[in-house]
Amino acid sequence: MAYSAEISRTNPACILILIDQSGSMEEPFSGSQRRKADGVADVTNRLLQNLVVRCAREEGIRDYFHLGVLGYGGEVAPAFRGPLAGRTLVPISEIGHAPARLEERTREREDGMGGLVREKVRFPIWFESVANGATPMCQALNRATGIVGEWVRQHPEGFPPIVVNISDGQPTDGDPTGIASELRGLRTTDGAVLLLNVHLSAHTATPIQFPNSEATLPDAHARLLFHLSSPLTPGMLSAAREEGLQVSEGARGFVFNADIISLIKFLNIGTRPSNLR
Amino acid sequence: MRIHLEAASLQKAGNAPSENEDAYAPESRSMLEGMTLHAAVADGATESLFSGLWARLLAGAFARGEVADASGLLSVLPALQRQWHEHVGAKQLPWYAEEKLREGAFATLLGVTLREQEGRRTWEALAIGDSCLFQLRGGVLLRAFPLEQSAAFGSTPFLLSTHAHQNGRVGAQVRSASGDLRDGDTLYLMTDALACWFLAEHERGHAPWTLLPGTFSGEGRAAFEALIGRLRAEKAMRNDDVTLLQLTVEQ
Repeated sequence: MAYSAEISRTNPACILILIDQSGSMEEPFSGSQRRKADGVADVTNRLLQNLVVRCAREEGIRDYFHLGVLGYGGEVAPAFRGPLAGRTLVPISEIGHAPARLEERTREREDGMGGLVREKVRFPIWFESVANGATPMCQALNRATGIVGEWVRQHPEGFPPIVVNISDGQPTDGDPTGIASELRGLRTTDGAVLLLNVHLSAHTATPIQFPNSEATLPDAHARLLFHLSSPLTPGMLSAAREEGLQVSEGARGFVFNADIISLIKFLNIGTRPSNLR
Repeated sequence: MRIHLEAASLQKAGNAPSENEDAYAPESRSMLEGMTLHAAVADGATESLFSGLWARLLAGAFARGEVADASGLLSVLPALQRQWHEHVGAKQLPWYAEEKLREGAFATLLGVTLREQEGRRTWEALAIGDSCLFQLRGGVLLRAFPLEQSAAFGSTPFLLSTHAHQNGRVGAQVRSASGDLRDGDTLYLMTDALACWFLAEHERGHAPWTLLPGTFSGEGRAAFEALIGRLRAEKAMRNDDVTLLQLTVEQ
């Protein structure tokens, strides 16, 4: 069965995140005062934090994932800050040990008796918010195809790489359909590369998660990103259902107008293999 | 009543033995004698931190007779949770481990109590999660508990947590069963990967217990490791920690 390859330290999986860092990311999230660029940096930091924590064991961090983050705006380049600056795919243990800095934040959690308790937590930062320049999505996908293609050559039987593209959906360097199709055409013996898209629009429409048709999407940019997205794998479908989402067979790895919470859920579902060993 | 006990546990392929998060009690290869005997296996969740320790605490408490039934389990949990927290809280930990410990550790528990009362011998089992008990009599599978079909194994069994606020549904999730015992009966306690294979083989009309070596020391241990290695290679079994505890009623 496809997308069932073991993910282990000897067979790690590859996750590549593409972040739109163009000038338009200065705009606020739908229904919020917050800049998309700030929200996306926060969410990307939290995603990495979640992945590091998921791989943590008594003896340290197990390298179940090799992970990279490419920013695209004024330039297309690796987005890590601090000791990992300039690196493309990095083992998750190195990521865990080398945040650019640790912030102290206060968080509320349930106390199990119906109340909330506030606690201080250390919050690692690998990325800062960036918003400048155009939206060279084709270039970013092209760069991703090179990185992922090399990975597939080195891991021909591995879990197929997962590429997550977070954007406000308006490429300025042409139609990405061809290059996205080339990226999704790369495959290991376990299946084709997965391309998941998160569309952050200023449109006031209701958020849409994992649609299985373009009928409900409000504009051409959303429809474009829908068409670039891979169908959810069986594992992702069941993970989405466990999160309480209504998803049909044929649902695509696409989220429209995600607020921050649904974005985090999307990224968790998109990168939650149920077969870690 | 005399019970011959054999046990074996094997870590996932590619892992070190110290990374095995399964546990069992009492210790392997012993002759148990008495009116009441307790034995247990527990399967620590791979995704949690210090779950092997949690599994050992649970199995150990059951084997000492501290967890006779569901209410016994609920009353002993706070002390076991304190022991776990004292052990991990004494360590200086990096940010990611501190974060992970907030989630707690998780494990299944399957325990069986064997009794002899007024000449009648019985077993009573308690289960949380998907570790399974099988009773064999005269070359026939008599009982499977708590899961009876290989298709019933999912990826998210109910688990016992080190964090009290995550155990709200424990009372409702405890499964129990009982049966009688005769000379020569064998009870197998297995963690999920082996139990799933065992049931699937049985559903295909085979007798998987005939493939298990009767003893797990010396050559028996080597045979057990070879069997698990072959089943993993053939993808007949998930690559998971494997624990098998075998209790045989002596004549």
